Amino acid sequence: KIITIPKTPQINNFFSFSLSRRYATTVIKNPQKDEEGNDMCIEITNRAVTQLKYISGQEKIFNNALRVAVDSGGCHGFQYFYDLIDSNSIKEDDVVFENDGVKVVIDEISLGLIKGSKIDYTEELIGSQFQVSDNPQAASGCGCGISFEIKVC
Amino acid sequence: AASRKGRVQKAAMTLTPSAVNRLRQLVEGPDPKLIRVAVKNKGCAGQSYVLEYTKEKGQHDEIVKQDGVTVLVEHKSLFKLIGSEMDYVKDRLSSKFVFNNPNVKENCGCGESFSV
Repeated sequence: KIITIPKTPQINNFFSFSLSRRYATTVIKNPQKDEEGNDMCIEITNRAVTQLKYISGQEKIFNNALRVAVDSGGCHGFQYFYDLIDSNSIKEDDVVFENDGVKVVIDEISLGLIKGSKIDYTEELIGSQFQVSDNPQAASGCGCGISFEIKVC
Repeated sequence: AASRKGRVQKAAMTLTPSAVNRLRQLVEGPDPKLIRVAVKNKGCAGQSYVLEYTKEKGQHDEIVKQDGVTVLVEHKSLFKLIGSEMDYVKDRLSSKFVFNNPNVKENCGCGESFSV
């Protein structure tokens, strides 16, 4: 029996995510829509999930979450900030994403600037860090991936 | 080389204990490999540090040996790196090598790139 998947973009996304990965990133609190009515979402990569679990295990703190925020700064105008926070300190206007029990918290304003991105953990010889990658809103980025410029339509 | 004889040679770069530990971890393994430090043109302030694995020492690479760990400094990058201290900094969310470099004039906001 052939199952046909309806060709709406959201369903397509949902299926491709769940087929290629064991877990998909879902919004668990305060979902947001952009001006065109599309869901604002991000993807938490498997590497980021693994690293956040590792940190929790090391510190034996199991209710923490990764806060990702965008603020002005850096050589390209905007800069990403990362912080580990207590899940109890999530604020009302925060949007919470989850993948395999790991939480990423983004405030509404920052989410508008990083929607569609991946929250990744990159490991290189020179060092390892969390990174927002493939940001569709970023016109150009700094070499280090911390600072970026916004596309102006 | 003969003219250098008898003179105390100062290492081109010094390593902090945490850098030594990390470098030791990185070169561990069955295959012999070395780590080369270089400075490449990238980043917003013009230059950025690059680490790479290499099988053998380049002809003009500077060797830095300390506490049983060997690091190569790419010869073209030597004058931009000389006198630096290589450190490995770890915090809750990231870990990376940082260079305390006396030749740096200007740093990028993120600390990743610089100009000499």
